Amino acid sequence: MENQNFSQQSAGYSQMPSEQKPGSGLAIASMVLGIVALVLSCCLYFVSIPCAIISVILGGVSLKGHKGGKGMAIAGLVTSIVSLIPAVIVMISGAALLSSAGFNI
Amino acid sequence: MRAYGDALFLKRCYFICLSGCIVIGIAALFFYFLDVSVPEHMKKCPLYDVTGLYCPGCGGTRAVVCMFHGKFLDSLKYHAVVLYGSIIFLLFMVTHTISIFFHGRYKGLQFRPVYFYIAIGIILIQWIYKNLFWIIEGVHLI
Repeated sequence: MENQNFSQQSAGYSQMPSEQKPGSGLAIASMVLGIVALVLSCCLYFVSIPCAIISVILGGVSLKGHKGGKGMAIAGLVTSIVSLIPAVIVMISGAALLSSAGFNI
Repeated sequence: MRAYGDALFLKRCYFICLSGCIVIGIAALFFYFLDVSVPEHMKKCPLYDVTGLYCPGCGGTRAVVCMFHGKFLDSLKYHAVVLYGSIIFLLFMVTHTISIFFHGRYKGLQFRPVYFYIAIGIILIQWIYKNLFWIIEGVHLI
């Protein structure tokens, strides 16, 4: 009887639900990349734009797959889309400056 | 508050951060002793140069320099997220080092999304605040 109780307890412990939902890693990665993209959005826009694009993809996959970490995926999407605005302005203005200075781009 | 990640995930994060610290420390020593100068065009923010507006990362480098010189109020003024991030990072590293030394008897700082939400909030608020102050009042805060 005692053995039975013990085996039930140990089974319960091993089946204890984990706090981390499967797939929330994508949402975490999306959020972290979004923050990196936001901070580096204009000073290092050549790093920021790829980070933002990857963050949008990861956030979209995480949201569409109904995986864990919905809030983090939304945060990743918002930060990466916001970070694209200054990065694109800097890129366009840089290109305009170069073309006005006579460079062929 | 909900915590994410198991002990293995946090341990991996800890060792990645530790290796990152070692690499950045070696790079900092290298730059300090070799006295490498930064090119002029990299000292200015391109967005500020073109539009006159601050970007979300403006003031970040100055905040890091002030923090390492012990001027914490100046660091907060330039970019608040640097000090906030450093405190969270330091707490994470110290608590997990203690946890490893005591064989997991004490739990280290857990991964909570709220820490990141606060960081995003600080970045966005200070970005809007600095630009509004400049547009409406005509005052450069940094």
